[in-house]
Amino acid sequence: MRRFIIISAVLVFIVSPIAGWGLGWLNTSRYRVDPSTTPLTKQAILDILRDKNRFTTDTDLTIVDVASYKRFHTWWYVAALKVTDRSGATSTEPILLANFQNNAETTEVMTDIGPYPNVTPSGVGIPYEAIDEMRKIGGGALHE
Amino acid sequence: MNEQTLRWVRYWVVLAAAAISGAVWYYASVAFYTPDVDDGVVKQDSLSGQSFNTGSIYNARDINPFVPYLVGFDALGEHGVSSKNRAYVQDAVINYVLYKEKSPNAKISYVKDSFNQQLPILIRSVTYDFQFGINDGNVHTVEVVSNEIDDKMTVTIYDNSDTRVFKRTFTIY
Repeated sequence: MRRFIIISAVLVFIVSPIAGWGLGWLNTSRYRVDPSTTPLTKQAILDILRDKNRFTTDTDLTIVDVASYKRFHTWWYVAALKVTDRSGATSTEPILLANFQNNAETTEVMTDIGPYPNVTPSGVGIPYEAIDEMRKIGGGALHE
Repeated sequence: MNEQTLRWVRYWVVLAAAAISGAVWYYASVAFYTPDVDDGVVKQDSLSGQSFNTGSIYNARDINPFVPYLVGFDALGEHGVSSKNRAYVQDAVINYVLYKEKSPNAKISYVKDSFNQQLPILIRSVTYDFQFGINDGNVHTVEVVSNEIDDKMTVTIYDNSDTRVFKRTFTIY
């Protein structure tokens, strides 16, 4: 009987409060600016672009690979894509992605591939560090 | 009531108590971590004097669920600031509040009657300043210098101790 009382007390006064508080914390994570999101990997970025049908675009560019990528302010990613055009010429173009919900499937592809993506003024909080990185990749051919 | 039934009753009572305890702490946690904004209530903004829907602070975001919400910035247009110029200024303010102030879902209010246009230094240049507040306080000053000749504009933000906390020059397209 004594064991039952101890286990019950631990359950009601320790385990349940911790579990309840933790669930509430998880459920309100969208209000915190730095939720512990899992960084996207290079392969995840490639998969996202494939899923979002960004391998072929209006500019007739085809993605060969993700050469590199950087993460900015938790949610934003700038990837340098190796692309080829119809003539087979290869170039490196920037693309901007946003992952707000710690879920690769809901990642937004914010820009088209190719020269002159117009990203500002976005009004949606695209960080200027990310824009500077895109400009660096795109050789200055970025609208701001 | 026999011994076995009594035991089951005790188990269920403990489980119910654990569930109630968990629920109480869950709602306490949600209340603690959720910013103090009611959904769908029309309020008057203390800094801009304009009405706004509190629900909009969380609901008006199509892409970025954390982006701050602007109240009263229409006043810039009323003072002759072009929509394009205003878009760059608002973008800079949003960027500053979100990443320097680290304030997601903030309400950014234009401070009523704070607009001040200076005499142009160059022809076709515009210089003005105004103030904004973050979540009903934390007032900052924005200085905007734009030049139509080279399509450049510089947005500088000063905090309430007049320290420069943000500066960026844009090329307007």
